[in-house]
Amino acid sequence: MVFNSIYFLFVFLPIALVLYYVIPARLKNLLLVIISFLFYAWGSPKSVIFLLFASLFNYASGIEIEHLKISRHTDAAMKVLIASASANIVLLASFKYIFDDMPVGMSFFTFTVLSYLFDVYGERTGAQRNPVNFILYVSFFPKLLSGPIVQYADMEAQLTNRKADPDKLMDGGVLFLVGLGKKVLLADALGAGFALLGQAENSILGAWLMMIFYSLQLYFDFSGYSDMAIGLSKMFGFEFEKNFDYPYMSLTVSEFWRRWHISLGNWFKQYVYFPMGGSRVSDVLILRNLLVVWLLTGIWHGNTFCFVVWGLYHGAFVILERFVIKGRFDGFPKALRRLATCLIAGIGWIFFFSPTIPSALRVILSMFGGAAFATRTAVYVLRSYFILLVLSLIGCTPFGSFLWNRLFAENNIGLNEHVLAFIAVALRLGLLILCTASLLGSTYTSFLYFKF
Amino acid sequence: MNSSETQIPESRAARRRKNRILREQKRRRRLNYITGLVCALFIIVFTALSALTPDKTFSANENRNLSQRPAISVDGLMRGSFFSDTATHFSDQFASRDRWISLKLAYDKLIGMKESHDVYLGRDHYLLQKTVEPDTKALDDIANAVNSFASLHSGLSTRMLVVPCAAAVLPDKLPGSAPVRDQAADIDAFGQKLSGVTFTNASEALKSSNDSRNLFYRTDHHWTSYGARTVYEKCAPGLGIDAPVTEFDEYLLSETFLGTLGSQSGSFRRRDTIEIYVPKGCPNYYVYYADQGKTVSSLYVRDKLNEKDQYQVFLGGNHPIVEIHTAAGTGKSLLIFKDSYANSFIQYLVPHYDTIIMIDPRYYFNRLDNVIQANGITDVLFLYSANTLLADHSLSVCLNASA
Repeated sequence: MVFNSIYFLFVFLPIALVLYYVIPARLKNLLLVIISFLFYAWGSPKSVIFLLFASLFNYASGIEIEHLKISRHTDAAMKVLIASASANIVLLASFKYIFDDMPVGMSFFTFTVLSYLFDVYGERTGAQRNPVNFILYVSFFPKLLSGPIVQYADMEAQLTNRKADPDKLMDGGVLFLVGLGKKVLLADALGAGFALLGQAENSILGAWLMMIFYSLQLYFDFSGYSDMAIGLSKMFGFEFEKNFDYPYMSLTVSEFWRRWHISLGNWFKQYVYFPMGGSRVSDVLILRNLLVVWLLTGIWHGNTFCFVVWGLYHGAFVILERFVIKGRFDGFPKALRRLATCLIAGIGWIFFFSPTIPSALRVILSMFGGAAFATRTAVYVLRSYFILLVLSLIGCTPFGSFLWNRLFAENNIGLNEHVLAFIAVALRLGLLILCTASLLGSTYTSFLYFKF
Repeated sequence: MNSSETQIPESRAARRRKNRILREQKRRRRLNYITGLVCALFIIVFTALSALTPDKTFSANENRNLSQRPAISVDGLMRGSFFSDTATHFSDQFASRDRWISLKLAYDKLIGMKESHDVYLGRDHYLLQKTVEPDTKALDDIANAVNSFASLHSGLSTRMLVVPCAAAVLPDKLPGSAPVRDQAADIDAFGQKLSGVTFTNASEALKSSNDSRNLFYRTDHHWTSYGARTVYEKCAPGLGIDAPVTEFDEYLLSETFLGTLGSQSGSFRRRDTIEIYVPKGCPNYYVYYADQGKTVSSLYVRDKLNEKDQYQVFLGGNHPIVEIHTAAGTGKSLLIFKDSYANSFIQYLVPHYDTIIMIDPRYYFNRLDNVIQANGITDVLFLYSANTLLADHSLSVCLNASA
């Protein structure tokens, strides 16, 4: 199941929450595991079996690694680590590159269990003895399908010791609602515009719009989903770090990657970059480390060559900033540097959405004059989506949250408290109503009269 | 916070700052709580309403059966269909579903969207179908099939009439910059491929109409009786009609017609009127529906006005073959290959032929020779809307099967 569905919003989530809050504390984790498996089963019942076996396998591996470590068989522990990590990676790779029906969320699942194995081996934490807690760590439904990729060390304590209080429930609920709005009202609508653009011939305007639409769609889709995931987790008492931090406000590409899909960046840093020596080695080795990380980042995202190019493309800019530019542009106006970073990221996304390298290059060529100026479709999309585009661009900045805080938390215009509460709540309820209408609207399928 | 709670007396400013932060936190919390309660209430109310109201079986607006509560079965659980069916059942039976759809459309319009589910939301409440991309390969097949039909039956006068869609005729009704093909050119390009056939492109006739507002329904993809009449009057020579009727009796059949485009786009509010124009001095006739084995004395099927698709009032919708026998006494008999656009055009042809045989190649799979001989056919007309013809696959199959 996905969060942005009527059934989840109106049936699954309310029931899950009620059960969770009435059940005795010692049963809460078991309940969450059952809910998570049900949630997973909703999309693909067969994958549940995979999820269960993969969880148990890694549960056993973790205990074995810890046992060997404690009894000072470090070499043997390393062997078990390599064997089980390889098993996970080979499984992921074979699903991703050979079979076409990868269980949903498997890329995220694999990184989640790898984090556990590495943390146990590196003695950041002990192994999880309680199988229910362990399965909950890997299968917790808010983060199961699309992350955030929570490292085991960050979640371990919360598995046994967390407080699910109404404060968190409400906080989480509001964050979920904001994420839902991003996904349903912005990302999905932008996606429809992007699809229209894809039907037309290439043009300068069309290519630029495609890049902008896709950049915005991807951001609101993914960050919206992350907000929903983090919000939901909070409703069940878990606190995770944010996964996006206004990435399109970044001044450099390196900064962009500290703000975009933060949990993935941290994962690579923790388990790939640092173990290879990180930045505390010679320049040549830093270069190697960065290239490895970016190559892996590309491969992780998808199974075509375009993703490899995309990963190395970003890696190239990060390396360039580190070794060549070295802050030489720091004096430039911030707006200009932000724009340049967005453009670099945007051109990168073209490789992300294009099926082949030549088709990506054609879009880029069109952007810089290799096509007619505009098609009717491009103008039509620009006119139809203008308001949405402006709203989305504002949504990429902290302006909305700044405004909300000024108006509703600080009450800077000094409204009557009741009026203030009424407006704020009406706005949020309005958001929920619009999301509901949009979700139902997407299930609207009028059968064209068969006898036309 | 902890640092300000040391034993040293706080400065007044620090205390004020602390109070302000506390106040903001309190306010934020209060807003979250009220939001949470209101939203929870909203969700509970709609879930309860959806669950408690009896399931509907059919949606008239969507013209489809709504999904029903799935039965639990091992097979359904294993394959996952039980889960997806449960979710679909809930959204199909959601309380006030149609109102939610309307709300979504209203919101889309508000933020400037100019189409909904592939239908243009045009000016003056026009809903317009998008122009079809011509299917070159299929068009060559059709042209070849029509040409060989014409040469095989060189004794018959073979004609073709192709009607553009509303978006091509009424560009000023399209929403701003909406991409639309030059359908008149598409139709002409097709006409170029024909030989031995008198070809008529209805674009000019429709575009030059004095009353362009009534040529097409606003909520349906068909032309109106008035649109059909306009083409009948202006294109008569090309259709082999020397003296078209000029006077008609006008009747209003319905003011509650919600057409396919209304349904497809989810805009249910606006309704169309259906009018008919009966030629003055129309001869007596009867209509025989072979598929139903039924004979009636009218082209119009009033019962269909009580159904969703009121356009079916014309000849009861589409049938594989319909025979019309008249007392016109002109000595001419017509065979029409057609789509649904012809249904509202037939009313003008009745005075000009003794027999009219309508064949819809999408549903007709028998040989044509018998039909042509048995009815003494003298004229053949292919009557299509461009949106059907330019992507059609059935006409060439039908003609070739009989060749």
